[in-house]
Amino acid sequence: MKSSPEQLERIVAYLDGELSAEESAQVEQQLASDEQFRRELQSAQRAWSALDQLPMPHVGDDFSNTTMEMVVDAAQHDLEAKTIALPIQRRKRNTTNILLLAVTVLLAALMVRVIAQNPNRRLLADLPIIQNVDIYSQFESVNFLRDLREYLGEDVTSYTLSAEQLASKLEEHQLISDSDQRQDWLESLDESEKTSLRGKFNRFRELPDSRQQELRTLHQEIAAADEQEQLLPTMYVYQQWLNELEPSEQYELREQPDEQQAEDAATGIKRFLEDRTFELTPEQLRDLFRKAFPHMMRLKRAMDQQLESNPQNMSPEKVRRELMQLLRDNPKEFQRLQELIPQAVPPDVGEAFKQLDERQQLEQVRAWFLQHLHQMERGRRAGSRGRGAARPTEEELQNFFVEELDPAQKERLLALPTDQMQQQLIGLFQGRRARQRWKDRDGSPRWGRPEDRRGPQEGAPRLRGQPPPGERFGPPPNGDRGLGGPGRMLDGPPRGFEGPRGRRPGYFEEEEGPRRRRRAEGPRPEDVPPPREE
Amino acid sequence: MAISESTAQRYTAQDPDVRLMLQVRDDDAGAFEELMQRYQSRLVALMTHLVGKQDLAEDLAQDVFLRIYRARKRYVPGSKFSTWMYTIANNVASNALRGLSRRKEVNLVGTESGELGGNPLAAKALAASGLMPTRQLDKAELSEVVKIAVSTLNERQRMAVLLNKFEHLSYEEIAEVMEQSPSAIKSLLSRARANLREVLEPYLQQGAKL
Repeated sequence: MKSSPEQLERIVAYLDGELSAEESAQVEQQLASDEQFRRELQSAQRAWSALDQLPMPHVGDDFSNTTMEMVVDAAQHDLEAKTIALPIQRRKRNTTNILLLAVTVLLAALMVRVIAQNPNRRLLADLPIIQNVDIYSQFESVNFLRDLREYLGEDVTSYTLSAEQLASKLEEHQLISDSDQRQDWLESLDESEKTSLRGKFNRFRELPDSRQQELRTLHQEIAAADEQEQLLPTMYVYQQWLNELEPSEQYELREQPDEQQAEDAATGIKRFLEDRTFELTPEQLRDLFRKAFPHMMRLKRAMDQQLESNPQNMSPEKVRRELMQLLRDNPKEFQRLQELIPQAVPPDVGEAFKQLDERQQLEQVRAWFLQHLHQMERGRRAGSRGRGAARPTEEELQNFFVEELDPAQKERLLALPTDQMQQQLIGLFQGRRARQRWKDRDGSPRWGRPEDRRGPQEGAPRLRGQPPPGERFGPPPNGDRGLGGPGRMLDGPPRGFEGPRGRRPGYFEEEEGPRRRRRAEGPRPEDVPPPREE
Repeated sequence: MAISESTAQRYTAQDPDVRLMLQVRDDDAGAFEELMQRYQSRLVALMTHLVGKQDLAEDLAQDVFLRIYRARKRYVPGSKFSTWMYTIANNVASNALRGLSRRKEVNLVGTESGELGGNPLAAKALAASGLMPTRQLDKAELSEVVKIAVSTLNERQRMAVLLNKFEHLSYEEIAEVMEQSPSAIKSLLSRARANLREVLEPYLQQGAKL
């Protein structure tokens, strides 16, 4: 027997929780005593639950896209309507202006949103940011570039970038900054360039929305800067220098406040330029040893033996001590070296060497000596070891976390998922250790302070416990060097290349035609080392 | 009806979607997109069950969003955002259904009385589906039967059922959306559920192979 409509109404309202406490109690009382009433309720409940089986349509991406497009159209119409209405609303001019501004802002924002739904349109819309995503990710504001430029003090651009390179970079920046020319620029890319761009695009898309917006703002700041023509070359120089740093070093640098970062970067860039003056190719280095150091073979043999028995013993400090002792014991030998070296190295290096004071010359000899030993060591290892810093043990990481991190860093790390926390902790550890190693050697970080620059202090240029960089930093000082040596950067892979050097901002790896190619396997400054905290 | 300041403040404090809508009022495109993302699936589902066709439902849902955008400057929080949005949706759907009805494009609309016995279309639809209550249905079949059962409800019943079941609106909120009294909604839902039970009960007694 079916219940009356009133009874069903009570049941339904009870099931929906729409009865008062008193009414509910009455229903429950009836449920306990009335079997038929109970069956009615269960039946209504079953039918209601069956609605869960109702198929739910899926809404595709197109829906959001077209809806937003419709809204953009509506905003456009609003704008037009208000524009037309302007003459007859002069009394309300101020109000209308505000409305117009609001609608315009909305329109622009909505267009950005619509564009964001379409990868190709989004690529074009954000092209200048995407193309520069790696370097833009390395600093926070245009003031960093201003500070860096000021700290660099002189026109280092001319030492690191040829006029042609710079013109090409600026031209590219101009093209991709002009929305009308982006499509043409995109179509002019060859396959490897497109691959590189795709990599950058993917890295950009992986960034949180807020970070993407920050990069857009940064781009706008740079574009709006009066001294953009000076800031862009500064940025390119900075990027070239960053190429030479390990990911952990980049991370450490990024973690600093902008001004400190600029000061350290300027010091590092200057030092690097100085170092590069004396950089020799492996062949040139062998030549130097053959011509200038035969009388130093005793030391070399001792070093070789140590290297053979235990490569870990070949510490830079030990080499320095022994070399100093040897030369101090044989001042005439050192004088002879001073005469021979300029003849055994390329002329420009020889000239630069002659300009150094005696202590600096000694340091440079030591640097070449170490470079030679590292070259040999590398040959022995035959690529069996990567060039990255050794992975710390769990215990080292634990101690590092407990003893060396400040509370804010700990808190930030603890908030991360375990794998990300581990990755960032290792990055911090290696960066900190790398800086400590430099401090141990030079009394300053690798990128150091201006007063710590190579010169009177005891410090070896380009001493990083690693072979000299495989890629050159900027153009060669003269036509004889550079393109043929390990430092060649525009003509195929560099000599002594040991595989990927980590994910770093990359430029100038090679050049073909008027535009330089970017690295096919792009850098990942936002990935490894860990990104700056958002 | 004018909305008091205290009412607006109360809903602003209680409902995050109201706060988003206030941002939309201030021309925040991101807030609009977020609202759209939150509601688009539910709104399209509601419209699909109301009009029976997903493509038409999507058009109607877009119309709802567009109306929300156009009404943004007049928006004053006098209820939950969802209640306000479903009020617009109800109007849009009613207009569309009237148009469809004139063109006789909807053939599964129950009688205004809501009594299934007076609606041979429902029986015809179920018979045509081949889904007879003489055997155990699988999940897809049960889903189809439920869909037909819902389509047998009249427009007002369907709207009330969908808002109650899937959007968890109270009788009072449904009453606001549909511009009726809560007691009228109580009766409406009761009749709708009686109709649903009548169609579904024979199938549910057999059980479903889930």
